[in-house]
Amino acid sequence: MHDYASGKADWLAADLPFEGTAELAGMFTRRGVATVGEHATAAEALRLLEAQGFGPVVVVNQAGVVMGAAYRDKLTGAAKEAEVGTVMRFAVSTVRPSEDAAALAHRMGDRGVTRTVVTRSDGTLVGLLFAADKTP
Amino acid sequence: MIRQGRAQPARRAGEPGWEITMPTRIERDELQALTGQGAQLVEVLPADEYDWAHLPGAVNLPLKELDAKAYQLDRSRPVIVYCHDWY
Repeated sequence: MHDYASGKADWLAADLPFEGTAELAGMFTRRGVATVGEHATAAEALRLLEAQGFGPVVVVNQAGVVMGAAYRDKLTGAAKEAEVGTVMRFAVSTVRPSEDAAALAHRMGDRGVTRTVVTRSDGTLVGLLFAADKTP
Repeated sequence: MIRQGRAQPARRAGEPGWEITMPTRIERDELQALTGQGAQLVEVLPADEYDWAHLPGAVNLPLKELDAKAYQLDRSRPVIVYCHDWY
């Protein structure tokens, strides 16, 4: 007999598959979004952002852990060869993929937040969640 | 945790034919390895929470019914129980 003591909360926060009726943030998250390392140039990050059609570009380390996010205004205002790490926003707010999607979209709407970074409990990137992707 | 010695669901721990097994705590990676080897997953939360979301392949045996329904489990395969979290 074994006890998975961390339980369902741990499983869902790790963005692992589940069965049931829940509508969780991970289900509405845009995956495969543009990422760069903090030593990439602003020009490269801007190119990725424009190819993607939405931002920000998420800055990750070699383990895929989110370090920050680079936004269009900072990238366009920076020298082309500037490192993303010098213009990225640190300490971006993140949510887990296990959050109830409707409740999260409602909270985002209340605060005027249009998008947020979704990470697993270990800090690795899942993707970007846009409130409009969940709001009917 | 109570394990039935024979298929007699009306019996209770402490009676002949029953034994008490303390569960071993495992983490997510161990769970994945064990289920890959055929372990049974049991969610012990109430049915509405199970219906909302449960691990793939898990069965629902709410804690209050666990003793009475443990006979439904396959004794030849490992059993992993879980609830929402450890808090």
